[in-house]
Amino acid sequence: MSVANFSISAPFKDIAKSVFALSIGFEDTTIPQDPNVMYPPQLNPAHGTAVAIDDHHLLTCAHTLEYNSISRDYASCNLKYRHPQPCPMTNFQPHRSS
Amino acid sequence: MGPYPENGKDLAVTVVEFIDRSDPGKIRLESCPLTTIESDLVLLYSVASLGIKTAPTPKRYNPSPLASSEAFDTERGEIIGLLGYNGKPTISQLQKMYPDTPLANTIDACRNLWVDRLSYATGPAVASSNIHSICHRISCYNGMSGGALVDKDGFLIGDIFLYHV
Repeated sequence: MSVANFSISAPFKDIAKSVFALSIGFEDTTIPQDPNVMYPPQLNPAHGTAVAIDDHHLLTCAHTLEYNSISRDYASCNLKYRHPQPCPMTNFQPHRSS
Repeated sequence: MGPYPENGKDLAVTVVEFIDRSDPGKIRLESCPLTTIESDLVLLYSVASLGIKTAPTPKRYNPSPLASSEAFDTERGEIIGLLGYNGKPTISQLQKMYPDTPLANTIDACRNLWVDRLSYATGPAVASSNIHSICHRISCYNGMSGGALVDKDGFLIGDIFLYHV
């Protein structure tokens, strides 16, 4: 059972500023790079959270960067990471993302 | 706040190194079995300043050893906190994940996780059979992976990963 609060209590305010939303975009290199081309939903970004450990470095779970080709039902041999692009199918609105 | 990454607000990061030394330039495919706790960490780098004036202070956390298989369900340790961003669920995902729960109940439960907002939730740590892990009873959803586990004083405890139980 969790307890969610509207605001973060004093001991956690500093660390809260170090917590970032993370979006991981995927690109299929066989699909032409055209902003007008709708990417398949299987390539929707993955999401996670990252914690800054200094002004330029963050730590996060390695599994947030993984592509699950089985659950997404998509051949993954031509994929690479990319900056997430606008995608109406995405179900996440990052505050601060990569 | 818009629905998509915004120039000037969102920062691009690159992978510096995975803890298991796998190739940072190669896309990671979900492994089977799942990534182990020991290898579930990655260091990222942002060229732009993150605007961090004070980095979180880490602190060693000593979870209670699991006394028995029943202890996992019954024993409760100190209250700890979890900071992170729960992602917005989709209806189809929810139905697949919780097929025996009325959909309205599941949606209400997700709303209470404060999806798509920096959320802070507390719950008890529980005994663990793995001395390298911190098991807890804090509800969360997809997107919270990597969130900060903190003790009552705001110290970053142990590692920062979140793992499925």
